[in-house]
Amino acid sequence: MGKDKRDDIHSAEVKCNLKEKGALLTEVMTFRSGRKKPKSGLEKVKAKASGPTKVDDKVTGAKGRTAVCGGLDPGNYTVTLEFPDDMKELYDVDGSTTSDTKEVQKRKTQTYYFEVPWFWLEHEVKYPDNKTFATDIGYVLRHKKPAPPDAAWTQHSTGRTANQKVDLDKVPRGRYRLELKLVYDPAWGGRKVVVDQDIELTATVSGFDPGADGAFEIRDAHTPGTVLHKLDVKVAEDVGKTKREIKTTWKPAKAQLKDLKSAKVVFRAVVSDASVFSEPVTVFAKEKYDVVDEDGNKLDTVVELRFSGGHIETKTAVGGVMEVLFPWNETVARIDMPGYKGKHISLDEGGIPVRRFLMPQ
Amino acid sequence: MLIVRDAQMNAFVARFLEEFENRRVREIEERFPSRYAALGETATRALIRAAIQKSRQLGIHGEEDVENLIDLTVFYGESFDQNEEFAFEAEPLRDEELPADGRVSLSMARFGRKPGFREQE
Repeated sequence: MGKDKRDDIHSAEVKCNLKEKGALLTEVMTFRSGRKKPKSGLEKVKAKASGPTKVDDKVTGAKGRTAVCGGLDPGNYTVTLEFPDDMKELYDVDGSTTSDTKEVQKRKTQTYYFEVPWFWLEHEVKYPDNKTFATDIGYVLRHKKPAPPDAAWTQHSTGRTANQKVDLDKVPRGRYRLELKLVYDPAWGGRKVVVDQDIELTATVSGFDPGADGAFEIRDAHTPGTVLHKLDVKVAEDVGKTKREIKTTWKPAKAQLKDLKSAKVVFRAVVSDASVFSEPVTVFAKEKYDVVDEDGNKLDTVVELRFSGGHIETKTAVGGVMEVLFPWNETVARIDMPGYKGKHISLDEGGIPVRRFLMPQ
Repeated sequence: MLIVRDAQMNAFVARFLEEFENRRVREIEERFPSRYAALGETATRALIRAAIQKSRQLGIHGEEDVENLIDLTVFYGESFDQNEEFAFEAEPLRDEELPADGRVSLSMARFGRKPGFREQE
C-alpha cells in the first residue's frame, strides 16, 4: 500500500491546509485462551508509544481502547503494553505479543491491536465410565504459584461436585490440584480383633488439611447403625507430604463391646462428612480353661473346639491349662479330645449348664 | 479565475472511481484468485461498487481504508458487516467513538488480517 493514497475517494477536493500530522490509538482485547470468541476490551493496560514525537502514556478504558494520540510527526512508532502486576497473574502476558511497531502516516490514524488471553481452568469428576458425574463430593482446588519453585500450595476454592463441569475464568497462573474430600482405603492392623490387645486402624484421607478432626467409630458389623465405641483422631501428613491419613491404636475392652450382638465389628473412618466403612473382622476374647481328669489331674492333651459360629480352634493344653481365643458372643458347640476316644468329657463354660460330650471311638 | 463546476467535479470523481475500480479488479484477481474465478469479472465489479457504496455510508473515505474494506467484502462476503458471525470483527466499522480513518484497520486487525492479505493466508 503506497503512501500517496487519496484522503477521500468520494470527493475531488484535495485538502491542502491540513497539518501534516498523524495519530495513533491502541486497542487491547482479551478472551478465554483456546477460544476465538467472545472477546472483550481489556482495561487498565498502559500503552507506551515511542517515535518521532514524544507521546504521553495512555491507559485502555472499558472498551480496551486508549484515547487517540494526535499531532504526531509521521514515522515509525512502537507501542508497548504494560500490565499491572495483578493482571499478569490472570492473563497470559508472557505468551502474547505486547509490542508492535507501525508507521504513522500524515493525516491518518494508525491503530495498534493486541490480544491477550486470560488463564482459565475447568474440572469435572466422573466415575470410571467417563460418562456419569460423581456428585455431591466436597472438593478443594489448590493452587501453586509458578515461582519460587518451592511455593506453597494454597486453597483457591472449595465446593461440591455436581452434575456438570466447573468452569473458572481468569484464574492465577501456576499449577492446580483438585482434591476430593474423601476418606478411603480403611485398614485394620490385623486380621482379627482381640480384647485387651492393641490393633491399628488407618484410613487414607484427601482434601482435608492436616489437623482436621476425624474419628474412628467401632460398629457392630451386623447392625452398623450402632456405634459401640468412638476414637477421636486428627488428620496427619507424612514427612514427604505425599499422603494424608487418620490413624489410631485401639485396645478393645469388654466394656466397649457390651452392645456387640454379633461376633464381628467394622469401623467407620470419618472426617467431616466424608467417611468409609472397613471390612468386618471377628472379635475374640482370650479365655483360660482348666483341663483336668475326674481326679483333678492336670492334663497335657490336644483339644479341638467347635464354636457356634462355625469357627474351629485346635489347642494344646499344657499342665492342665489351655488359653483359647473365643469368638465374641459364641459358645462351644462341640469339643473333641482325640486322645480320649470313648470317654465322656464335661464342659463347664460358666453361665451355661455343664455339658457332657462322648468322644467318638 | 478558474471555476470548477459540480459537473466537472463529479466527472473527476467518476473518472477516479473508474480507475480505482479497475485497479481493484486486478488486485482481487491476483490476491483472491478462487473468489475471482467463482464470481467472474462482472460480479467482482458489482461487489467492489457495493463496497465503495458501503464505505460512503459508513463515512469511510480514505483510499487505503476503502481498499481494505473491499478486500474484506470480497473475502468474507458482501454483507459481512451484518453477519452475526462477524459481529465482533465488524463492530469498529460503525463505532462512532473511533476516528473514521481507524475503523477499517481495527476491523481488519480483529479479523487477524493485514492490509494486502491474500486468499491463501
